Amino acid sequence: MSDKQTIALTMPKWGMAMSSGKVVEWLVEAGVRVRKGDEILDIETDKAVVAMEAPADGVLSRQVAQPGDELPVGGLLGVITQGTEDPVAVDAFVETFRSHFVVEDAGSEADQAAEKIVINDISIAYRKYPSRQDSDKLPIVFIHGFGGDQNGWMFNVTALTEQYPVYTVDLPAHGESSRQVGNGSLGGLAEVVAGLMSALAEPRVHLVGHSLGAAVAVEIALQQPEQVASLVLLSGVGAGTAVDREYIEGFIAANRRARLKPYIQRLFSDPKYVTRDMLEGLLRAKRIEGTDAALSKLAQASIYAEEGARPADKLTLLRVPVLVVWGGQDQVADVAQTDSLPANVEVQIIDQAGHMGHIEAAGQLNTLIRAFLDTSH
Amino acid sequence: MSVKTYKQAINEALVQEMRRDPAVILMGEDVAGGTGSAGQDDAWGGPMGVTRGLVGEFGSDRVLDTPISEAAYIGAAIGAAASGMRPVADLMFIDFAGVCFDQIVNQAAKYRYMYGGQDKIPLTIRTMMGAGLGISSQHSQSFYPIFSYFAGLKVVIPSGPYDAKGLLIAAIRDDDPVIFCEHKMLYEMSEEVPDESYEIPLGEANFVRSGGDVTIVAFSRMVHIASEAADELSKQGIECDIIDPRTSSPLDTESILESVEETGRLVIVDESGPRFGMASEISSIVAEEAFASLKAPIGKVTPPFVPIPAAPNLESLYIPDSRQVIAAVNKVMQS
Repeated sequence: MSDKQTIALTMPKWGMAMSSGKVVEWLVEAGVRVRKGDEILDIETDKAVVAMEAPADGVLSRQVAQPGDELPVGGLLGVITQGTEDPVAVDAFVETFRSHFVVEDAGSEADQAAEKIVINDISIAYRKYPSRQDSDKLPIVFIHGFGGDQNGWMFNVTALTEQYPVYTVDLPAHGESSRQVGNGSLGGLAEVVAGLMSALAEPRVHLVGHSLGAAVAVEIALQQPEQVASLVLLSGVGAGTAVDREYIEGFIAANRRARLKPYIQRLFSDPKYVTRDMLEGLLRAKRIEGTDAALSKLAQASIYAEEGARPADKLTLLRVPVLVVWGGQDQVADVAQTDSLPANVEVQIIDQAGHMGHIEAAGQLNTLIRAFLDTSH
Repeated sequence: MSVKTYKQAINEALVQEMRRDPAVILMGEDVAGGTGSAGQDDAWGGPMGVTRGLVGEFGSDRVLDTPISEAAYIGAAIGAAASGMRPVADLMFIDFAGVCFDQIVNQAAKYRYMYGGQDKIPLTIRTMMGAGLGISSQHSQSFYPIFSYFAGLKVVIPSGPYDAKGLLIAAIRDDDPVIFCEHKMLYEMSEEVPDESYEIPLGEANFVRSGGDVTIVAFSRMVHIASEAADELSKQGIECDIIDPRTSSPLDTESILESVEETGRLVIVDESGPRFGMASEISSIVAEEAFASLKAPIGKVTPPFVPIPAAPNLESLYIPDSRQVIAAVNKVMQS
């Protein structure tokens, strides 16, 4: 990036459905120097309150939007300058931006729909996000956890497509994938995701898995080592990860907002993250006929059946770089299990996050992933 | 998943339930429309075409055109339900309920209770309500609160295609009689609806919008009027919670109270009449249960206490609009 640029800080688009966001508060005073990746303001979307990162080094010269303001995606939040902090120039920049700004169409339904492909007789939904840079970097594939879906990665996709092509996928019985799970085992889930990569002609990828998705990622790396360049395991370390059974059973059984809420609140360090829209989104997926039975089968075969396994046994077999990231406040999968991991695994703890680090501490996780991929490749 | 109209969503729910369960049958005036005549597959499927195509797939043993006697075919549907079928009867306009009132409120609603739970009436009555088509006082009413009066009946009032499909499937599977009230001005409304079958539990409200300054409870078509108002109010800095109860019986009072306890301000928007309706009922519940949370008197937006006029200009004055909702919200925000 050339020096002395003036950079518009604009409302990000986190997920296909996001058309606007609300400023909660600025985390950095006007006039303060920021580094790329610093969290500079909290933004509330329909899904959660998330910190936005500085897109570049510079000085936060102007806070254009104020707490409480609702802005469309692309709307001007503030201005970062790199050596041109003259207020008159900043005023002119803001004026020019505003006079040219057009609210983008939220996108047609077709743009928002996930792609679908049949792997092992299961219809699998996925999305591809091209890299915003012309690069030859390997893609990152994000695999969500039990009961989640690919939209859960909305706060990570934008940050990582800056350098990497990204895929997100709905596991069988989740999101918009079909409600069949085969035998429901970790091996079966791994075959589906590896099969998707082959079908999409992606011979080698980085895998980022959350919770159950982390276990799936480990299985893929063991089954198809040539397809996997590195592993990031968030709040899960593979088969045998100790998880709260009551959470899983409660999640499967809950068919109403009021019953689901306490379980989802357990996933987060702070219940404020759990919005009504988040609960409705989960219920919409759970209502589809056959979901609860499929989730039950999957929990039996891929989580309960693996209880007693020692994650370290499999992790030591991996020949690729592995980063384990865990929230220090995790209430469903104890962070203490990161103490007994083998030496080939890098461990990073995000103290204030719960089980959902990719939402609660999206910025920190994104920074960790970028640094890990930069150094290991 | 694809975009479907309210009408298509209802049709799809019927098709999926009829494929799943051979005990599900349809009966009513013109639900097949021309059964037995040449070209019956092109039969019109009711005055709005909601059941179009069903007689072709399921035959006239399961899609029964009945004589023009609500007393007769609603009674027959109750009998069928009592003897093992799971009928969906089509009471074309809710306005016609008077002629089969005894069958519904004294037979269907009471049966399970009077036989000590040993028998059941798994009956769904689909019916159209709502003003806006200029079809006069006897075809435009929304008196679903009358059915909500009776213990033993469930009453569903879906406000959009997604809810309509999931609630109709839940209604058909429910072992009690359910009055399913479709708003005729919503039939062409469309949104994303899953292709798969799914149930929305009866008795759980939907939070259409979470704002925090004021609670709006709105039913059926009025959910959209309230949403228009909330968009406008948001520009003035007033953020609304909008709750769509989805069913008036059972009524999800918990969700209403949860929101009112946060906002302290309540406006109820309903197309049924101003007296003895859901707006009055909810006002009463909130006054009893959450009086201490209220910062302002409760606001009600309903039509006036008059028969529904047929003249389009008068009818449009009759139906609550977003300006009235905005005025009511501004009033409760003042104190």
